[in-house]
Amino acid sequence: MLVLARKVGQQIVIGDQIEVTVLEVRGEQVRLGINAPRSIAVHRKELLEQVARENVRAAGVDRESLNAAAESVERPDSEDGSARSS
Amino acid sequence: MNLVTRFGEIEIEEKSCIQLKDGLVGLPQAKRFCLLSHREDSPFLWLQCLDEPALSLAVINPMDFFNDYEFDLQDADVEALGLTSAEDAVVLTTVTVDEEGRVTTNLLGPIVVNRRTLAAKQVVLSSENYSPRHLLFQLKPKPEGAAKEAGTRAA
Repeated sequence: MLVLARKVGQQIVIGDQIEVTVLEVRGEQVRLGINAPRSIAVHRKELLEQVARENVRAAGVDRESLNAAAESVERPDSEDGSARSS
Repeated sequence: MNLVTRFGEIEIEEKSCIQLKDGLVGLPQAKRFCLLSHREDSPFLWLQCLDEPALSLAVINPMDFFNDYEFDLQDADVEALGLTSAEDAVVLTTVTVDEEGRVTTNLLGPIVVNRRTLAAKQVVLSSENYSPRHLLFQLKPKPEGAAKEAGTRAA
């Protein structure tokens, strides 16, 4: 991993098109400004990890669980029925 | 083509496949999917992968549950999907059921499908308003232990 020390207001450039600016440092938090072409997705990594985890969990749903869930939806009058709006 | 899924062997029309050029988040190799209905009167669907036949994700159309679910699609994603109007976009979100019977859906990472071209992409929203485990509803606890006991006695 390349490690660079930067001060507030300083930048790093990645390739020809991506600029990262250190905007603010406050305690343990760093605010970064990122200039990148729209075709380049910029994400907080933990959000990507959460979505990846949900994909794996959704692939682990078995048919019986989904049957039980569908029955709950079909009986929306039940106490714990769904919030399904028709 | 015939596909041996975790629900058994099924026949699939490849031309009705959804194509995710980048795959799913965390599963980049999973690019081609078809939608299988769960069963009659069920709002759930299976997003069945063709590249990995054992992979099928439980999904819903979140609009069936939430009238007010909306998000802005980045220009790059609109372009990648070839979308020319919002009406052409179909949205799916994955569903999970945990041990406590909580049925949740991932509103943070919707899968957007262009209904005309079937090009699709899973996007990660930057909105903090949407949760990856938004509660749809809670299942009632199953009297599983009791049923099993009765079964044993009957046998």
